[in-house]
Amino acid sequence: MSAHLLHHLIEASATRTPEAPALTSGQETLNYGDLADRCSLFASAMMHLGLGRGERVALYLDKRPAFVEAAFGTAAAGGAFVPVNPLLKGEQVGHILGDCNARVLVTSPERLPLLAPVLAACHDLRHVILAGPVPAQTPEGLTVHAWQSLAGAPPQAGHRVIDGDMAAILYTSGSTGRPKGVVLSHRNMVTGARSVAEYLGNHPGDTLLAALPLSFDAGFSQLTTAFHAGARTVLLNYLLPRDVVNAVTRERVTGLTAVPPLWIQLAGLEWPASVGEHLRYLANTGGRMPREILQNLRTKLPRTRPYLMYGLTEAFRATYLPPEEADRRPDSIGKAIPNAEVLVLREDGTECAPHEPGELVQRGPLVAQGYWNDAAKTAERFRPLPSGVGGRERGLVLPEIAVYSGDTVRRDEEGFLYFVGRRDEMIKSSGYRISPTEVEEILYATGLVGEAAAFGQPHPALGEAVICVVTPPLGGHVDGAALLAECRRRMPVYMVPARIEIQTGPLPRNPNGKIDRKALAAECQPPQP
Amino acid sequence: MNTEREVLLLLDDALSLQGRGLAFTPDTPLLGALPELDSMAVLAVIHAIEERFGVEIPDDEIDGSTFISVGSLVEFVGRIAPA
Repeated sequence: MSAHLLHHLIEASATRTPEAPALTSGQETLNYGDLADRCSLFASAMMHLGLGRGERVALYLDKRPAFVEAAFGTAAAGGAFVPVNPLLKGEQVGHILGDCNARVLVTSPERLPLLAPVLAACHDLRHVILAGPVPAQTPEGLTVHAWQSLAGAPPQAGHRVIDGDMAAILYTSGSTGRPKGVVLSHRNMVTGARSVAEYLGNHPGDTLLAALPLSFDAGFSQLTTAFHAGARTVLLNYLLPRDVVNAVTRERVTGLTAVPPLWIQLAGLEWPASVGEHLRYLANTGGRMPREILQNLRTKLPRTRPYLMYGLTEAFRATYLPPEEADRRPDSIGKAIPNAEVLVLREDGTECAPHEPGELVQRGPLVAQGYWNDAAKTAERFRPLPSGVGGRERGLVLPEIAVYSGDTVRRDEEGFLYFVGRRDEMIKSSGYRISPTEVEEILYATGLVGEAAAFGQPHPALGEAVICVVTPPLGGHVDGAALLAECRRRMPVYMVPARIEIQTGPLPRNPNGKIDRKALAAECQPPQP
Repeated sequence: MNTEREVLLLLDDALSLQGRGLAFTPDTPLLGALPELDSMAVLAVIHAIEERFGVEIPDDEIDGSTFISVGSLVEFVGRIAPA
């Protein structure tokens, strides 16, 4: 069968290779045949509970097989699943449940009491499914089901859906306000899985480690790319970076995707030599990998090929840098992934000349279906593409919606793209626009820091002043004076931090594991003029 | 005070559970079950154990499996900090 709906990814592999391992969690491994059966069971249970076409099923769970069964089972029923980051607290979960009008909530007995205060306000919610036993006390007005009771539902086909229908809503934190729900269609997710699996060369012999949260598009993508390829995914709830190295070694993982703060920690650990026998590639997403860290990882893992990726939740993935280019242009985010077109546009909608900074705009079948129930925010980011740019011919009359990323990039003569900065995070100081990633890159390059974050703060004379927060390198301390001297040596004057703050522990992360510049900026006192 | 009670007090404080942690039992799952326990907070817990029990925990002595449940953590503390 050919996969055009999300759950077909599992079903197609189950038809080809029912005995092949699909999912490992702790000691348990499910093969494709069993996983497909379990997803069908969940789909039947949803139909039995009366889930309507397109209705939302929220998943507030750590990584475990039940999460995967519920996500793909919801899609098979014709509903849309909403993965909620398991690190979010009750109030934030309540916001998401209310915002997406969830009909069903899947969670664990331990998490349910945390949600008790917020569930009463979720007017559309009818059913709670617990991965575990049902406690004596359950929230009023809701029917609470034990996971085991789902098995009693008679087999039932899901609603008829087409690949333009919604399959999922992924909540993403923006620069301002509450998280927004990015609506993804079946086509978005299936096309994304095909595209990524194609350039990573995923095959049935692969084992991918799902270390990132499944509520994050790049985290969920480990499942879709592996299922598309008939490969195995290992689910890992990690606490310490060592857990990741241990899982890679124990499960003989062939592909590892992580975000820069995790790579920074992983680069500081010892990797057994045997990892080189199986770890085929490492992939970075969710921010620029500092050059020193990439170098360090490549020294430790000389046989592992690095893929540097860039993408927005609003259009899944956008670009990647092929490993053979990583030495030549380690600062580049590469070129568009298969089946996506990436443009660099001026404010007036025309295309930028080589090296001229402009906004990254993505068109094609990966472009999401907008933000759930938010016409204003959708209209800011999802806009009609002007005629005559890229592959859009002037004679076409129907509007084509593209994603305007809000990220500033430039393109060289050979077509390779370079990230300049997020428009809303750019620091404006003494008339210059300064990219925080560029400042951080220089701080890392000094070798004098462990982690670094740069941001702007209001300053009466400069407009904004550059503030940096850094942590000590592994087993060392930060010499503030030496670091500032290195900054003066390596940076133009306008970029040199007005203040460098030193913190001991790791810097705060946002729920997706990226260093949280906004939280740091909020903690810092404005600089003295 | 016994080790289990000490560990519960320490968890409740380090993870800001506001009393919730005091009702935990050895079977209460930790890893993956508590939104408060993430890769940042776990460092605070390890630090609190070192401070409270006057021990130094080498990096290779501890990993995610130590935090599977309250019971596994109590067992670990009992091993590195004999009464």
